[in-house]
Amino acid sequence: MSADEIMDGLRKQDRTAQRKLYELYSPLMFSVCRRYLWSREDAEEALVSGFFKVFSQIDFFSGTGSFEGWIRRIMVNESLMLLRKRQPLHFPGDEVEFHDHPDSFSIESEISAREILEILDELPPGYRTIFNLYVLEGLKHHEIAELLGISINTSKSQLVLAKEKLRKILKTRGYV
Amino acid sequence: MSDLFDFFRENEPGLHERPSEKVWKQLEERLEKSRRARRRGIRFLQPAVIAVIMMILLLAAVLVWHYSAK
Repeated sequence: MSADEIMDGLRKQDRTAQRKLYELYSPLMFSVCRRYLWSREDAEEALVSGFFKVFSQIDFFSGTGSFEGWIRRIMVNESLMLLRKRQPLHFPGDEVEFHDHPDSFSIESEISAREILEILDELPPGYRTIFNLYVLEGLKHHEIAELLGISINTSKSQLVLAKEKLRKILKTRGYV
Repeated sequence: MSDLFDFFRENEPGLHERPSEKVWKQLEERLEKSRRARRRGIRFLQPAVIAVIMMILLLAAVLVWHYSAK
């Protein structure tokens, strides 16, 4: 099934095309949801809601931008909605004075994907959300601020604090 | 040597993981439920649309009869 055939099928709500798209993107999108949510069950719930939206709102996809990017944005929004439902997002040390210093570091041992997830899980939800949005989704601070309803400075300070926390976690675990 | 953020960016593809089979089943159920609801909506709308058209035609016929009788 070619990409055009899948897209035609999706517009006709064809189940085979929907399944094909799900097979193609579910591993990536599940990892996106999992990075925002602690449990697999919550990540799976966000994934179901996200794909349901993708299929039912397929006519809203303009076809000009990246399709993967469009799906990813839906998944991020669904994950954030569920995250907020589970617990309101707090941003500890909100707008503290911060000094970011450029760093370079070397990982002395191999880290598996599972360990990376465990490290991200150790971050408080606020830090982790901003870290994910900035580092892994590539959003700018003003976009994060708009999405989460916080100030640009809060977004910046949370990212610096997340970075410091990550450095500490990596050190404690003996990776750096 | 790499930046801490680059390290996570580079390793992100390693996090890709297939969800359990029940996810597709839940999604399929939800899609089916929404399809059934849409069909019910269409079935309900059809008699209503027919009734409205009949009313308009009847009203038009009454008006034509009324003015032509004058």
